[in-house]
Parts: sequence; C-alpha cells; structure tokens
Amino acid sequence: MAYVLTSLLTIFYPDTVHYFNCMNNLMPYLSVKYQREMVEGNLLRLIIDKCVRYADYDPLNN
Amino acid sequence: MVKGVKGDYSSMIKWYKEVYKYSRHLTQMLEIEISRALSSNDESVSKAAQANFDKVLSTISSGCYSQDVTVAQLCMKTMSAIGSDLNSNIDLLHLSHKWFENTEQGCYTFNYAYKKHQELAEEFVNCIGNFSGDGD
Repeated sequence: MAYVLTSLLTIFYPDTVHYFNCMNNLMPYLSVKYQREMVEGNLLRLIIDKCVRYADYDPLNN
Repeated sequence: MVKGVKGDYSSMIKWYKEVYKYSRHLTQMLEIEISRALSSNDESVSKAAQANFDKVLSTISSGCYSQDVTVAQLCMKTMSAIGSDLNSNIDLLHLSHKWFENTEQGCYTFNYAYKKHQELAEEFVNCIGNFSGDGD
C-alpha cells in the first residue's frame, strides 16, 4: 500500500501539486479503512515527509 | 465499453453485475489454471496461463475506461472483489501484483477511472488496497 501510494502513483502525477491533490481526496477513505497501515505501515510519515520536502525545495510552495 | 452501445450502458451494467456475482468462481478457475500450469513444469504452458491471467484481468478492468460512472464504479467494485480473492493464493498474488504494478495496466487503469470520475475515490482506495495485499 505505502509503495503504491508513495511511488507508483507519482508516475501518473508528474506534477507534485496534482499528486498532493489526489492524496488529499483519497485521505478520508484511507484514514477510515487503512488506519493501521497509515500509522504502523509508515504511510502517513512518508506522505508528510514528501510534503515537507516539497515545501523545503521551493519557499513559494509553502 | 467506453461509449456504450449507442450511448446505452445497460448491457455493460448487467454484465458487470453478473461478473461481480460470480467473481469468486472466476478466481477459482484462474487458480486451477495457474496451479495446473505451474505443476506441469512446462515453461510454454506456464507462460500461456500467465498471459491468460493478464487477459482476464485486463478484460474485466476495461470498464474503468468507460465514460459512464456506473460502469466504472461496477468495474472497480468487481476488480476490488477479484483482488481480494486473489490474495488467498500465493501464486495468484504474485501474478496479480505483477499485473497491478505494470504502469500500462492495473494501477494505471484504476487511476484512469479515478481521474475521469473523481467521485470514485473510495472504490479506487479499495482497489489499491486489495491489489497491494493490504485489503480485508
């Protein structure tokens, strides 16, 4: 799950903003159905890490 | 599948409802075919069985390209059920992962449906979960 959402899906969303928009739409369903994977499977940490790195890369992205 | 029969999607909807109803039976047939092919120790038979497996999944998932949201929804629901059933067999699980992670099939197809019909976010999450092995 983490691999699909953080690596495979990025292939279909070359623009990071569109990728985050997609993740934003999926988040309500992910948090309900895959709560364990989100926390224990490091999915949430990986997504937050991606967001932080995206923001750090360019101050305008904040 | 994409545009329906002269814009009428009722036959596709009916077909998907049937496939969904008998999805367990379909995965059992795939299971038999793959296990027979693998036990035959014949590489050409194994390859043919794997190609058939890919064809079955690609045929059923073709509804994801439909312009009609009901067809796309039923397709994703059916694929989600199939993905869940495939998880119970290690050989099928391996093949379904391979199909799913192919950037021109599996995940690409589901993502296409989700991009076209944003309201199918829940179905998309279910498909991803079941095909990545994290489903129910």
